[in-house]
Amino acid sequence: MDYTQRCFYTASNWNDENSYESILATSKNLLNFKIPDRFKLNISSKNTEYSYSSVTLSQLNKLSGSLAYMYCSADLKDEYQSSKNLQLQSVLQGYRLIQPSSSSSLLKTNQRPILLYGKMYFPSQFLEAMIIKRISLNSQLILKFINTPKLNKLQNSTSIMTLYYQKQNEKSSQDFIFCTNEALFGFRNLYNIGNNSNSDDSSLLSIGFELWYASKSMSPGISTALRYSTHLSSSGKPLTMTLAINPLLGSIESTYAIKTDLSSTFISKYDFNIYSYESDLTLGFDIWRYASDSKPNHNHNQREKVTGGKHQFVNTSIPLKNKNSRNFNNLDELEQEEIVNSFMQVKPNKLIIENNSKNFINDLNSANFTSSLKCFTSLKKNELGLLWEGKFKDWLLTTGLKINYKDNNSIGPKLYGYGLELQYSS
Amino acid sequence: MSGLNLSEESKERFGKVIESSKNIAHYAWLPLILYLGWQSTSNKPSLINLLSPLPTA
Repeated sequence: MDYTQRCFYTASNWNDENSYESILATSKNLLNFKIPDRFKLNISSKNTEYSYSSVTLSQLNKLSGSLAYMYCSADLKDEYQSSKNLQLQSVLQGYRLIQPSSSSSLLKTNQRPILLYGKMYFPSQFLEAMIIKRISLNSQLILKFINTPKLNKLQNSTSIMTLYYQKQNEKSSQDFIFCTNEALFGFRNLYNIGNNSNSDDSSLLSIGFELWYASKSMSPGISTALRYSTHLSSSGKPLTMTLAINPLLGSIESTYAIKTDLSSTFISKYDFNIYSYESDLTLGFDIWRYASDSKPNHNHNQREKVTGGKHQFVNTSIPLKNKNSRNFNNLDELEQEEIVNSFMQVKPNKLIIENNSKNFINDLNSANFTSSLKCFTSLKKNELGLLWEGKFKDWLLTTGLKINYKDNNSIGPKLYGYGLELQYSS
Repeated sequence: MSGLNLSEESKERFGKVIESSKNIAHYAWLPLILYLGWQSTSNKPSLINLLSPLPTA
């Protein structure tokens, strides 16, 4: 259902990357990924053009399950794929490629799509519901609520409602949040600096902060973060650096992530607390495996990178292109000056960087992966987490484990949890 | 003081109304989503097709 929600954002041209909430998404995906702790079976299907359903069965100590339905007023046929045809990189969460949102992509749609979602858990009859309504070209409203029914007299029903109003444009994004639990107010803001949609420069610096205030307990909260993402000039490989500071808790967290190849990412994170002087270094990586018949031809890519640059170089020098049959010396002075000027504006280095980064993104989007392995280790907590996600026949399999390799109370490594998830969608 | 008694009573009633409307919303939410999906589709699908998350042949 998270996947369907992302499909909805894509279909309605909403850039969920452009939000303070997702500023640390890469490090969360690669270092704090969720490891299954039980056996879980999930079957989803697209019932009609506008409705989707999903059933989940899970076994930990006892059997439990959930049933979910979703209605979406926009047809997601271009975005939604069954697990048979699904591209793994569209559903598995790994390195986030940050691309500046342009105003044209936000203005493409004229409709105001709506999404309604409901999930009921059994046997607890706990209800989880969500409404997403696009209210204008650059704003949307999200209402989430959870409710437990009063099944007997001893039990009280609890319901929590959270309302989000999100606004975004290419320079900034704002979220206003209200939650009925503790009467919590929140405000998130993100500014994009150096995001000029007219230039093809792929570097982006984003600065954001969030403020929270629980009016019942009068407790405040604040955090601020900075993210810089760019592409290596030589190969177009993307990298992201972040720095997050929480002044109330005194924590400083910095991360560095680089996609070293189409199929691998390395990330390191350093945490430091200025009040307790505690620090921790976390390292992680992910490796993707290609389908046996679809490994990209790197020589071909390399050639494309160079000729791609040259091609644009010629295109920008229009006067020369139109008159290339004539000798430069035979042209009159004005024409010569025009050609020289047009060449002066071309920056070959910049063109090559842009082409390399574009080629890298295109190669990544078209790659056919069959599985992904993620691993993280924390040096202070002595933890190691492994997660394997891949396709087997038409099924999507997820399995993983988390261990403490230097536990003081036990002799050998201590196993925290392991599990297996099977997913099928049609 | 009768005004106060009345407000106590109406408070109770109000609480009951809220409680039952919560219950209605709780159990009517999934059928509402299903109905919206059904009515927006041109070839009205059968109930089984609409309800079942299992793939249809």
